[in-house]
Amino acid sequence: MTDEIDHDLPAFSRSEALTLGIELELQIVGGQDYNLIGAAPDLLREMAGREHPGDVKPEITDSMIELSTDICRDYQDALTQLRGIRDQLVHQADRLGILLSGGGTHPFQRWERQAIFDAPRFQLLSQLYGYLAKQFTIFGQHVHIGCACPDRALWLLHAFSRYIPHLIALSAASPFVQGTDTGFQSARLNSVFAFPLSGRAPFVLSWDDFNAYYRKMIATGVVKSMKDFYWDIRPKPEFGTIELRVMDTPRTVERAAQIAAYAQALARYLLEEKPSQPQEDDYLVYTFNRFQACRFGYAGTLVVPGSAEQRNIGDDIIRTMAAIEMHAYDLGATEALNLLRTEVLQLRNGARELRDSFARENQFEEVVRQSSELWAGRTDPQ
Amino acid sequence: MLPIDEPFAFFLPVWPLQLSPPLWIALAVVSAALAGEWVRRYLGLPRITAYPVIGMLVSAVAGDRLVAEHDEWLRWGLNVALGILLFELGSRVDLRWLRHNRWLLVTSVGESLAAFAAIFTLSRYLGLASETAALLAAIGMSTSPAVIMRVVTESNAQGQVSTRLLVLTALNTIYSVVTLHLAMGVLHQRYSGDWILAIAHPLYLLGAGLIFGKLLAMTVDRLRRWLTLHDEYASIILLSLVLMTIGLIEALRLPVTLCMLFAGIVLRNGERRAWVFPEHFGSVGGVLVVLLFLVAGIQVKLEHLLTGGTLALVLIGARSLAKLGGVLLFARPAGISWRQGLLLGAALSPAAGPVMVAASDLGQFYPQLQGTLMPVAMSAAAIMELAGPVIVALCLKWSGERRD
Repeated sequence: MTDEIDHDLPAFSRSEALTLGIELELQIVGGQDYNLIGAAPDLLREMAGREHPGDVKPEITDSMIELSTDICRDYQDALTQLRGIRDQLVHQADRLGILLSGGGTHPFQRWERQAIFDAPRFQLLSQLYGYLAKQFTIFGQHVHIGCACPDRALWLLHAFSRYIPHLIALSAASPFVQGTDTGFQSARLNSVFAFPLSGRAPFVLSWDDFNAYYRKMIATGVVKSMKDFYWDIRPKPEFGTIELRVMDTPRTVERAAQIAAYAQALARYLLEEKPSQPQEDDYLVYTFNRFQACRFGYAGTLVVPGSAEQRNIGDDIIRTMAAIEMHAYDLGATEALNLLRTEVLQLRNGARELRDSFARENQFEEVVRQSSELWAGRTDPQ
Repeated sequence: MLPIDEPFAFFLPVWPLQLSPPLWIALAVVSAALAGEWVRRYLGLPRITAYPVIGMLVSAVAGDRLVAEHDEWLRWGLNVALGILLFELGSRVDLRWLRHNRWLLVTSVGESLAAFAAIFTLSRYLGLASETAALLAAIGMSTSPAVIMRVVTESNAQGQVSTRLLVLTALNTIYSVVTLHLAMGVLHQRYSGDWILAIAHPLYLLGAGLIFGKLLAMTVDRLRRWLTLHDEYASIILLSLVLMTIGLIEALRLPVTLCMLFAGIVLRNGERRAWVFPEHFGSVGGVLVVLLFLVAGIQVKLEHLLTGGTLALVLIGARSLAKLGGVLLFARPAGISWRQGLLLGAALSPAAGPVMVAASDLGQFYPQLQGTLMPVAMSAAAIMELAGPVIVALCLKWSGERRD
């Protein structure tokens, strides 16, 4: 985790196909002014030695904390683990008089106030990216999907690219940035796009070719390790997974588990039914589709790759859900799929809830307070 | 020829100029404010460190004539300044936090009791009568809300040490005022032999204080339903409301400290909605705060320091150690590190404003205390007035919570 260069890509670990891992970056909010507060060291100190599943780690700024599950078999497993970690975190936060919240951005924070967490990698990032590193006070959900072999991982990675807008629309929860309504449903992704190595992975389908690409990039001196790639989906050789990284942290752990279950069922569908063969030209419409999802959510337009067919993103999700229904059933994710389907049909996601909350209360502090109550599982979404 | 003391024309002033005392007070305020900026820029100390120093200089040059002559409206200004500060402090107390973290409440009771015990024992040992010792100990329980509020606000500190500092200060101020009035009830019984009076007095103060706090909180709460309190103009309404309340509180001879603290707490915890103290309102109080610390400096009498100084120093040391011990004892179960506990305990040491107010009130009630209690309380307050802000500022700096 220092500035040493990884000249060789780590070997792709074996992992059981279609297992799940979920990481959530959380906002730490002060109980006094509802702004972000640098309490990660306090929270980590109080979490040390407590019983809970998964893991809790520091993140780039000390007003952010990352929780992760252990390897999960299915939706129920993920849900149970997430609730377990959430409950312990909320309990410790209550003791410290601070609040935790989901959502992709803090609605009214001033990023220039955030102190960079004092760890070498983060210091390095902040030296390299300057204010961009601080603008990185955004909060995302990452879902790992286990792959049996690296070539299948790359195949799945590119097959998944067509569905990236789904994941964005389902998880979008960052309409407000620094006290203004951005008009976007996921404004968080706009911050990610500012980084030079964000976007899509190169179109290679074999691990040897990927290795060759990696070595060439290392030789340019632009990157030092896999961590420098901020792609929407990237392989994680150490875990033997592909990592989906476009989601905002949802406002509840339940929603986070549902989205992970959707991705898992979708992966099984892609791998077993092979509805299409990924190709470079799929990416012609990729950034257009992704922008539509960030800006308009379910109401956005999606151009189906390889055709000129335009679809409503919400409709496309409902159609996909019908196609993957049996896979969801086999994986024990029917409940997750049904809950998500209801949300899509009602055009509800985190961004919509946050906008409703602000329209009701007309005060960002109260929006943050309601988000933190929702995250703690003490209220239901309205 | 015109006589020498007649002006040349009717519209010219008489020579020498007749300068009104408020002009001198204003001059003192300007010097204090400038000194505050200087201290902040060149020494990195909180602004309020300079105000009492200027006050002491003023009183050395002009005596306390300025304060004595304008006692009435100065006291008003001070009460308003203190009232706003305590209102804000109260609104920082989240009762839900105390429910979730009972060890915080235990810490609060612990450090206050320790401070009371330390001062009571020591003053008894030094030969004070037990009533006087109890009064002194009750006064010593409280941490100066004015110093804490100003230094925390000025350094824009946020974190476990600063937030707990505010909460513990609010709580120990409440304990202190309550204990003080209970002790006064005891004194009443001793001095006039009337039991009903002795019981009714503290009950009246506490009960009416709560009612007043509730009333003010309810009014402000209604107000914010149709006004944006963060608006500058809403602050004017808020300020006049506070002025009105203080007027009423005074008329009913209730303690401003308690009423305003209760009002803040009720407002913050009365409903679930997020409550953030309006920024403009705080800055309105800022001018009055200069006056508050300036006058505190003016009231320091050198002869008090000479007669009560040594005893005061011993008491301050014992009290600070007791508070530190109380906090450290429960630091880990309450969820802070040893280091944070150490800094929090040390930051609780300032004692000032209310001590003086209480001591002078008591002095009026019981002239026989003038000789014993007054010098010790006053010089302890004076020493902490000067050292307090520096200690708090250092503690916040070392805790890494300063963001200025």
